[in-house]
Amino acid sequence: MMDRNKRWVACALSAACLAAGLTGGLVSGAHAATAKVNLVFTMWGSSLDTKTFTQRADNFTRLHPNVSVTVKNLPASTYVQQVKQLIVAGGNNTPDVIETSENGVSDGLESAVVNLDGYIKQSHFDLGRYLPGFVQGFDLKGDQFSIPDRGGYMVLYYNKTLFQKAHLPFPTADWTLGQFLNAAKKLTIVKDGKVVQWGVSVDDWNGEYLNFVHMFGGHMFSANLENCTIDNAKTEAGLNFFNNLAYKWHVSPTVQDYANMGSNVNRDVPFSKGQSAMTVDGMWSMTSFAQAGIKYGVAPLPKGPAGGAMMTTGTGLAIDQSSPNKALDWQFIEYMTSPQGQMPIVTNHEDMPSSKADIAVWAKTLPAGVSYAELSRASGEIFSMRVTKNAAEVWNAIGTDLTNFFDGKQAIGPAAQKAAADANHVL
Amino acid sequence: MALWRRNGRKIRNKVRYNRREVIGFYLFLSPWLIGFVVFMLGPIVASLVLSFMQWDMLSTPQWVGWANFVNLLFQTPQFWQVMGNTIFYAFILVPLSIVLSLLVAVLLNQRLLIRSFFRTVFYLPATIPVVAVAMLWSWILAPAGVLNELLSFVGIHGPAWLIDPGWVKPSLILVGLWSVGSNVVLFLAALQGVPKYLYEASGLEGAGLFTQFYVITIPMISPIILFNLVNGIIGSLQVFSQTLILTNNNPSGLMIIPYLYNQAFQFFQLGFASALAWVFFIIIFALTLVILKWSQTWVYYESEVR
Repeated sequence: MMDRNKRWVACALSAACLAAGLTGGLVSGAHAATAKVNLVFTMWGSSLDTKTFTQRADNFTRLHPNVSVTVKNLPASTYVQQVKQLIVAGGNNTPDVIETSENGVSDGLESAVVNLDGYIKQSHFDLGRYLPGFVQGFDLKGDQFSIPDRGGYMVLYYNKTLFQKAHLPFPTADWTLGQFLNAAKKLTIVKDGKVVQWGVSVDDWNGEYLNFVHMFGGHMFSANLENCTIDNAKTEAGLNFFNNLAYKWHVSPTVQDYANMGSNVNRDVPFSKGQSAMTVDGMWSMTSFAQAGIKYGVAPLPKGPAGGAMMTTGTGLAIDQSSPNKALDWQFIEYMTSPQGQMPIVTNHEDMPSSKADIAVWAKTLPAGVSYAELSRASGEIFSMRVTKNAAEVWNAIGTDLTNFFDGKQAIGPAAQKAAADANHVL
Repeated sequence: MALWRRNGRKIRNKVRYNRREVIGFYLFLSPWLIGFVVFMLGPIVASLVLSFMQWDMLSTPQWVGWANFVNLLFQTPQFWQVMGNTIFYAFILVPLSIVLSLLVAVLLNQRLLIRSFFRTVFYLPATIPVVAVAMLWSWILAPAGVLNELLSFVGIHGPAWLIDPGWVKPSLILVGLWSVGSNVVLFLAALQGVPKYLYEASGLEGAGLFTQFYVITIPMISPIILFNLVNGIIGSLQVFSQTLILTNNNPSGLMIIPYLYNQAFQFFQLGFASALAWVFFIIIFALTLVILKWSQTWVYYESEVR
């Protein structure tokens, strides 16, 4: 009797387990069929940048109803650090797609992102849709880690009102360094021993001086990116010309002048206040200069002995190694970097798109009086900063050793030698 | 037998009560103990292990043995430059701040009109957040800032205090001296604890003010001087916020902790940064031991018998 009861209980239990398993499987199967995949996308920037990325992501999810995208805006100053922490922490916050700067991959994300060469080849992705120079910025030793997304490069901004007052012709794509310097001298106004208007405002950011290094035919690194070559003659000539704007010809504020203007003041401030006639900056400043009421134009940077140079300043999109949805991540990147996917960058006046097809449309949305015509004539002069390993540490070493040079306290020779030695120690 | 039984119960009760006391002790201690183990001891041990590894947070840590320490001590010239900056800053600032705060405390200990007002005023800078202090001083020490304007009235052309390599560290020391208020409070309390009869007795013996200060005041407050000295050395060697904000990685003003921060969180060299942290800890520890040993020759404790 007891044995029979035990048998009945065992059968009932088995049947219950089987039923539970089957039901669970059916439910989970049904759940999987309808489950949404959530992609986490990390970026940095202003509220306009968040709005634009969200809009683009929403456009993607409209085409892929089973996908949702969470856009996470992380502080720019600690972006790489925070991305790494999200990856290490794991869970639902792990990024799938990461916005990167040109240095960002080498700044510590090298082991975090996927080499996209396989995806590019498999899907016949056309890198020729971007301006020459953009793609190289996201290439680390021959491997493509990011696809260009937001474009833009360094340009020369000039204050039309101040040029007209001085009866000077506006800069063009044919401007040379000599013409640039002459204009800067004529546009520098000194009253009672004090400069009241600068011809140009530049500071010690490498995004500016690297252009001048290129104009003189110099390079910061060897072709194989394993040696720092800042101490070669052409590089030093470019750096000298750039620094002489402040310390020899006095047409640009010095570090001391910027310190007198306030804390953390850079080249943008005097230009946006109408106190300098020219500045060198990225395209992201177009909207803010217009909002400051400055009637300005944009032109390519002047040509040096080795030609013109305009360094890219864009961002790219990369896939996180730990993402479980890599195929979907690639679809997301393909869409976001397509002409259709980049259109909100144009319509929101966020930045310049990297896709050539969108640039013509973008050029029509520039602030009143600003023309892309001269820039388009010089589009062949665009170049990307070459990315070494441990880029943050390398550039920190170079920046530290050039501090006294940019402060006007040291000649370029000894500063460059020390910078090369310290950078090579890191490399 | 009955007495034993009574005593046995008393002993058992006493043992039970002692055990309860011990359990109670650990229970009250446990929040701090758990916090210490989880948030301090754990990371301390982890950093020691990391110092022998190469790790960038994402890839698997790799054992490199003593390589980080060798690299730090023998192959990184910047470390020695930064160490030199830090020692210069600490060894000039701390004695100056002790002397200045003692002087101010002695003045505040006198019977002065509106003494309370002055005591508040001297302590106020210590209550202002460090970042706000740094922003204020960046304005004061700007090349055309308040300080240089005042100097120009007497015909002196002031330097670019936070830019010129030779003036960066003195500027940081000046900023550090501005916050001596907390030392002043401690010295003031110590001065008020010196028995008056010592001064009366010495006065009767013909001792002047300076002799009384040197023979009575200094020895009586020497424990507080030692406390301020040790705390000052440790705190100034670990200076971070104001130097980072004021000098923005200017090599003449770069100190050890901002340098460590850069290595760990900008360059993701966590193993190297951990090695740096341990080397610095050993240096501070050794320095503290030396100071404590030296203090045996000049610190006077009232309860001490020599």
